[in-house]
Amino acid sequence: MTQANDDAAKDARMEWLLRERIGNETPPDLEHAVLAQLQTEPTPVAIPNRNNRLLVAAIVVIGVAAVFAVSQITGDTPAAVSNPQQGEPEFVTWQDPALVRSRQDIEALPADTKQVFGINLDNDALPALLRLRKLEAIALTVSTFEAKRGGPLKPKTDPVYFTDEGFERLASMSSLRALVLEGHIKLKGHGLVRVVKDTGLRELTLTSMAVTDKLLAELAQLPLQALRLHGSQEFGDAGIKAIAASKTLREVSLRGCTHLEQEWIANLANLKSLETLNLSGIGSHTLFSGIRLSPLPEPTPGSGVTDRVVRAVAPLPKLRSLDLGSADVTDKGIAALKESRSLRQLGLQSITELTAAGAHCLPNSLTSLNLLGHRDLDSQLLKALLGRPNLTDLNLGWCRNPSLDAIEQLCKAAHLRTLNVSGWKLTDAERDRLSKLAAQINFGKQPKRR
Amino acid sequence: MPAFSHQPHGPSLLAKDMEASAFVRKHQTALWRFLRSVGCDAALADELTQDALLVALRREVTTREERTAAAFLRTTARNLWLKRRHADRRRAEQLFDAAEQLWQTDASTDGGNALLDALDQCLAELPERSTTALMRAYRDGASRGELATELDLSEHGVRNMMHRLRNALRECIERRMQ
Repeated sequence: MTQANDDAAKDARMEWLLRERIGNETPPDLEHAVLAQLQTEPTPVAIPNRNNRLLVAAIVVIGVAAVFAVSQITGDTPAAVSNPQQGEPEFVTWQDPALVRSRQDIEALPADTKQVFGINLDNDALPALLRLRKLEAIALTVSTFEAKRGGPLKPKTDPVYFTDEGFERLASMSSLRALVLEGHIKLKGHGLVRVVKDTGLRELTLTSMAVTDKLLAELAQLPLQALRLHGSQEFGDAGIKAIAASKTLREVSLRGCTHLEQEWIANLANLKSLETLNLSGIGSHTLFSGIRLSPLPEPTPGSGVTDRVVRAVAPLPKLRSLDLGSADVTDKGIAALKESRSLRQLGLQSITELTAAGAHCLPNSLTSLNLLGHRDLDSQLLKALLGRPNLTDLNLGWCRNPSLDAIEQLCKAAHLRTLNVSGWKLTDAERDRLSKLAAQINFGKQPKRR
Repeated sequence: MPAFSHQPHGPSLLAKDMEASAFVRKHQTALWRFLRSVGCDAALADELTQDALLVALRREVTTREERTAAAFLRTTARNLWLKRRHADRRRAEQLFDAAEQLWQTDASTDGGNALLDALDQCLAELPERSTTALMRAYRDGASRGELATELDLSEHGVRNMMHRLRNALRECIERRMQ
């Protein structure tokens, strides 16, 4: 370190100290911004690490080459191969969206920006987005809570919202494909409907929003392919009936909509085009109902996801992915899935009522099963999974430690690709033994052994 | 915001979010201060802190030891910052290395709190006129011209005074940190 560099570094440090101590400049609270941004990214299938990056890259190259080769043989274009079942384009994958907090931030973005994550933008800032002609995906969130110096979170006194009048100016963005709105409770509907209608939007996610039956009825008339209502409120039977009448929806998520009643959710049995359905975290049996930082008041919990709901949606002919996490379902409800030919992914995390009897009824088509948090994962339940020849991905994280013999038997029979055992108390020897059982093991965070 | 994360969705995501929240709360202040101590302005420090935290969370650095995670964050922030300094990258690298050494010596264990405490003590020892000048400049954002009028100095005199003050504070802090 030369003297000049040392001096420059000390000067810079002095400047920071004075700005923070005298200038009242404070370190930011980025907790919610960081978490919100993380949530717009797809959940990784497996934990990437330095050692397997080259392997992944090689697999990707080989995969692309294979797709290209197939397309040459069959005459298909690679794009058409992206979703062999439907021939539909895939949904947007969020990748490092540009983070903006003001009109000036937006104006500084390159013209070819494709994804934007906006925090606390108001009516005045939104029109600046119109300059970005290639914008495909926008997420807009409101910061409604704040913490000072690591203190407890408190409601913000002056959260920044936009209104329908400001928002509908985005209706001319013809390139827009995906929209995520969170906490914008001043948005009542007509501006949103106009944007969805005029842009030809494919995916809409409304998180912590007041969504009325009337709004859902209007949205369901439009050619949306994915509608996610995470932790949103106000809609009920009529709204879900309207969703079920859609001609285009392939994905619906009601995750965390704790006010829903089982009769309402069962209406989704009429949505024959449905491929992905997320019903996790709903109802009074949800482990985490009551833990929320929504700007909306906590709703009265409904009866939520029960055996009746599972029996209703199980026959959906195209259903490939179903998440029932924390639902109040039993073996009897799970048994309804037995005849499914389409189901590939099933989330049964934190469903303690599942026993070996229910596991015997899981469909043979299943390739991915999430049993995270099961408190009574005994050998009999694991043996029941032996009969699932196509199972390649299994999440047993935070389950009470089952017998390793049973796990070993299961892994060998099922040819597991990934196994999640995070939260298990393992000795080094047990860890080594497990490492040989699947191509990718996620040990995650493990409690310390006494 | 009560991000998507805090909705009552599945427990796996919630547990992960809680872990991520704790990680962000633990490291954000020290990392931001470090960037400010390197010379980033506050807005850029906000941005780089957030980006570095995101990189760390994506790579599951949360499971590493606290000191290792903090070092990872500083290195990531350094790389993000250097990406923006094409024109004078070499100079920026040298400055960053010097700042990193200073940080390791004085601030790596407490995120810079001891430095701020030392500054408090040094400020208490300053004559009133000097304190006033610092308050007007840093707290109120007064220009050099305004300070010159108020302190009955030339603008050049104000510049010299501020330079001397900062040097005196710097030396005082170094003495107290030894």
